Amino acid sequence: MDFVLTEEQQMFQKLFRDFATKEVAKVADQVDKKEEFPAKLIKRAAGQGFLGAFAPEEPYGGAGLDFTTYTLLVEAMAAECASTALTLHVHNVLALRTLVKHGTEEAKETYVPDMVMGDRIGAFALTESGAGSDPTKLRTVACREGDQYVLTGSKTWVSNAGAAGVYIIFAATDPTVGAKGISAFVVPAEADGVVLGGREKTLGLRGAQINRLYLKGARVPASNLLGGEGAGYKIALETLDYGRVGISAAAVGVGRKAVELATRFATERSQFGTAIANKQAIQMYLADAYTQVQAAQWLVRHAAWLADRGQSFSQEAAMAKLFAGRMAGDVTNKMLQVHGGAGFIADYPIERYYRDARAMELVEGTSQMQQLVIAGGLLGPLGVKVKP
Amino acid sequence: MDFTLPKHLQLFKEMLKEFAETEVRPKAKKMDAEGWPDPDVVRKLGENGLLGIPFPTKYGGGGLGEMGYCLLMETMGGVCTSTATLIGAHIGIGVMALYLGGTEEQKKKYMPDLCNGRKIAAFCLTEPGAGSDAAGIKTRAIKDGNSWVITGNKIYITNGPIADVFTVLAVTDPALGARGGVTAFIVEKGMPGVSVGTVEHKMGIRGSATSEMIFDEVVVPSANVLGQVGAGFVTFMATLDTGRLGLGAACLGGAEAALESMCKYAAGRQQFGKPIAEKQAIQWMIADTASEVEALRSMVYRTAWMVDTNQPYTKEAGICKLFGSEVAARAINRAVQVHGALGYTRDFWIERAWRDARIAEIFEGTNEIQRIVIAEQMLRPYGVRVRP
Amino acid sequence: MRIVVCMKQGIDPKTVKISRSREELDLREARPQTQPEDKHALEAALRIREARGGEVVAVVVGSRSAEDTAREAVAMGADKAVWIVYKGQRSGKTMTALVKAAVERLGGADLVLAGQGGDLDTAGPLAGRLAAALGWPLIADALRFDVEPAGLYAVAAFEGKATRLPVVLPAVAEVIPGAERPRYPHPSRIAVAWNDGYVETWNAAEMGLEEEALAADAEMGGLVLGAERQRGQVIGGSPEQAAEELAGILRGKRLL
Ligand SMILES: Cc1cc2nc3c(=O)[nH]c(=O)nc-3n(C[C@H](O)[C@H](O)[C@H](O)COP(=O)(O)OP(=O)(O)OC[C@H]3O[C@@H](n4cnc5c(N)ncnc54)[C@H](O)[C@@H]3O)c2cc1C
Ligand SMILES: Cc1cc2nc3c(=O)[nH]c(=O)nc-3n(C[C@H](O)[C@H](O)[C@H](O)COP(=O)(O)OP(=O)(O)OC[C@H]3O[C@@H](n4cnc5c(N)ncnc54)[C@H](O)[C@@H]3O)c2cc1C
Repeated sequence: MDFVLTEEQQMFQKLFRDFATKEVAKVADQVDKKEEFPAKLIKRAAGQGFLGAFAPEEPYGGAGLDFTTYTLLVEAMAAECASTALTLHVHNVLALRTLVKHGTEEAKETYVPDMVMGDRIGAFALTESGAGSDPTKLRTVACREGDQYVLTGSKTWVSNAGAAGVYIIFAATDPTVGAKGISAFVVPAEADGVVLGGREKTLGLRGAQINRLYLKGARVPASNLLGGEGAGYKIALETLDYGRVGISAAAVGVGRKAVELATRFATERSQFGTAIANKQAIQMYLADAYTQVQAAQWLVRHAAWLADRGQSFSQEAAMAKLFAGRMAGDVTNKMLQVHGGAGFIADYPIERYYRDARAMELVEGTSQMQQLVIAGGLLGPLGVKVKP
Repeated sequence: MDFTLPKHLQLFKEMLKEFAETEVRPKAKKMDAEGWPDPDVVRKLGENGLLGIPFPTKYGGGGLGEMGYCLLMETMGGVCTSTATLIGAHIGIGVMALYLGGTEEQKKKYMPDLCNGRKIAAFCLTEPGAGSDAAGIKTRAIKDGNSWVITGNKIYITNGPIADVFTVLAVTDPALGARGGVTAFIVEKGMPGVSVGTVEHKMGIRGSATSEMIFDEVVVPSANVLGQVGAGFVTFMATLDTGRLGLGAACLGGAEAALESMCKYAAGRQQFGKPIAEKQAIQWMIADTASEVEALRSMVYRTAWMVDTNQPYTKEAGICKLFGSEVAARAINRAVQVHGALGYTRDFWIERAWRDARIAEIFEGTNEIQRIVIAEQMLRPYGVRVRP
Repeated sequence: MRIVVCMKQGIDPKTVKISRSREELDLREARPQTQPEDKHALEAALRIREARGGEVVAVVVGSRSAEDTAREAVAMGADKAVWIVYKGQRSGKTMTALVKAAVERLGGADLVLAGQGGDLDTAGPLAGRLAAALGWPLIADALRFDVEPAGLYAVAAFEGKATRLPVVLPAVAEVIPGAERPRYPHPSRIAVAWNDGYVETWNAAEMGLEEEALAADAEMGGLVLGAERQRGQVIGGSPEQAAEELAGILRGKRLL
């Protein structure tokens, strides 16, 4: 057993945190208040190689990070700006990794170098109005016509959509067989028939342009199919395992920074003639919160470690996401409370952390979906089939 | 024991519902977006007698007692938390301080205009250095012949920018401390030296205006000493007792609305081929919320009855505020979860209600202070001195 | 000037269900309410009083819970209300006789206002019969009244157009919902409406009415059920409010 990051991982962690505190921190407030996608920042992140996490160095010029190191990236970014973390995460795990893992050589050559450079930001379009927790009910269809596929339908809640240069889109190639008929495609934003819909005005994560997306007969070459017809659902599930760990890492970043903010505030704020940090109520909040953050962090590390060893980690990913999602909500809530009235005022950053954290129990599978996965893992071997 | 509302309050409840749906709900979203109360709403509240509900008719009030006031806050809390806050700061603490601490002449002079909304009240206690520690105020009033000169800054004052009459707490004799050395004054908007400072940007209850109030050598006649010199602290603390109960009632309304929305949405939303309401994960959230709402309603109504029958209620009011704010927060948090991503968009009122709910755990004495107040009452018989 | 407003307690139609299998109204969850049409009549009366003084008396006929309607009229601003306790069927003839007797017992009136019959009203239009019984002119379909130095004018819907005509008192008017929304009961009136002194309780015998004069001249013949409709939903409120609600519903059903 060894709970220490490797030297290389530690070096990366420092690099990520430096970038976060120097570059990300200074725009975070404006990203939220102006609801602005931080295009310049993302470009600078690309310059550091942060947009090529899962692309191999050869031939794509990617960073080729292991998954544990990647979680450090998301954690560091989320500690300053959860919107930026979400953008990088959706790009790296949901889009880039999926393409690198399942794409044809042709598709990879076409898109991966641009993605690594930050010239094409990636997005992932699975959810539809009728298909949220249950993506098998999606209604977007893809029809083969010669050596092309034609995609028709509409997607909701596509993070990065407004800024994206490339989409991973899930559609039914055979609508009669449910999950087994779902396929995944890589679709460039400029393809005819890809129409950007309205932007979601969200409670938090306000910089992460989330839009609707319409596919009006969008055509892509057959080589843009990922992993063969009918492989889409498996790809989605596999991707979401990684995705969940990444979101959990973001939750840890949010929680860690919230505790830092509140700890500092508590020592600086005096009431009844003494710093509020001297009161047990405050000490208890901080103690509980830090414990929760640490617990979530180790769940994340463990899941990532399993992933890096090539072991199955679906259960661990679900547990990390369930715990970290709740932790983020709970911890930011308590840390806001430590701020008293100041916590409710938009001049202090804590209220942004609180709003951002609320998404962590919703994205990439709600807490309830994680519970079902975990229960399924426990009860399955005993012959109980856990159905959603 | 009789748990039915008297007939006249039943009629009042119906009137409130119709008023809130017709006059307030259509404006709630706009007030939140613009960050300002709607003058039409304020005017109509006044014209329809809703800004003086608990006070005797001889002062221009509605004569419906604390029970009537709680019904008002419950109704508004379910429709527009900002409006409930505006009313709470006006009736619950602003005018209430006048009513509880004022002389007969002062009540006759100020209350009629305040009760019919021609004038709006604000309650000025909090200062940069004195939040939970109300006795730590620095605002100073110095006697000068037949008048007093008040100087100091108050912060986070609800209704500050729209109020005409301010009840202001100031130190009159530093040697005597809170009991005896602190006096409340009635200050009017037009008096030289009164000005509105920074207007706060808040996470929630954005439709209520909150600002700093600056009192710069404001000369007020001795006739404007609220009650007696030295009685201010006691008056303000007694005022906060009823304020807390009203806040608990507003939380009740918020929780009821959240509960209703959960049931309605869960019954209609299908995933996995069935309404999500058929899943225990959802049913549990609904059942827990319903149980908490029932408990809260009983304790709010009972405490209102205690006020109306002249029984001591400090502990009970603290409990209503503490429990109520937590129940409301949990209820709306669950409502967001039940709504999935829809609960995270600003298109829908659930998101606003989630932001709005957060303040109740902070103002009118933070929940930590409530716990101190409650523990104090519980432990005093055992000879334990609970100090903040 | 004394203005008498006839007010009735009906049933909130939203709380009535129709049992198709048994071909009857299911009234188990029915909630009484003051007829909304009558509140328009009261509003018109209060406005006349505010402009030229006088007294507004609400006359309410009905059993038990009808008292609440009398109290509500006081809470809305009527100077007082008369509650005529009557348990029998309130046919047009019965109502006319009771209200006429009440007007007489009050010592007369200058203007009697009544709302148009409500959805579940069995009595039929009252104003016309009352005008005939009192021998006073009838103003039908009055939308509002204007008080001017020259006298009182009624604005009535006549053949689809708002027409202004002078009112020759005493008169009976049937008020239909116009531009003026009935006011909300005022809290300070709500506070006292259940106190003594605002509602007088009368009965037919006291007013010298024999059973004969009150016997119903119409009977409930039966229930005719219209064609069954698909379940729908009415969205109320202002246009923006309705749009938000509709958008919410559609998004909820994931149609949007
Ligand atoms: C900020 C944000 C960013 C997002 N980004 C993306 C993106 O980039 N790409 C993308 O494809 N999607 C994205 N999503 C969509 C997200 O994945 C979905 O919102 C999520 O899967 C839930 O779906 P839903 O909102 O339709 O909720 P629903 O599925 O309608 O769920 C409503 C409620 O019912 C519960 N529920 C549903 N089924 C069951 C069951 N069987 N048992 C118990 N409880 C159940 C849920 O847990 C939830 O509480 C994003 C969402 C958010 C909020
Ligand atoms: C939107 C808004 C509207 C407001 N309206 C008004 C108004 O109209 N009039 C008015 O006078 N004020 C108003 N306030 C001020 C409000 O009442 C104060 O914010 C509140 O009392 C807390 O004070 P504080 O913000 O200074 O927090 P602090 O007192 O600094 O508290 C910080 C944290 O320390 C905790 N704490 C403090 N002391 C102790 C202790 N002894 N033991 C344990 N924990 C402790 C608190 O609970 C809190 O968690 C408003 C505030 C807001 C945000």
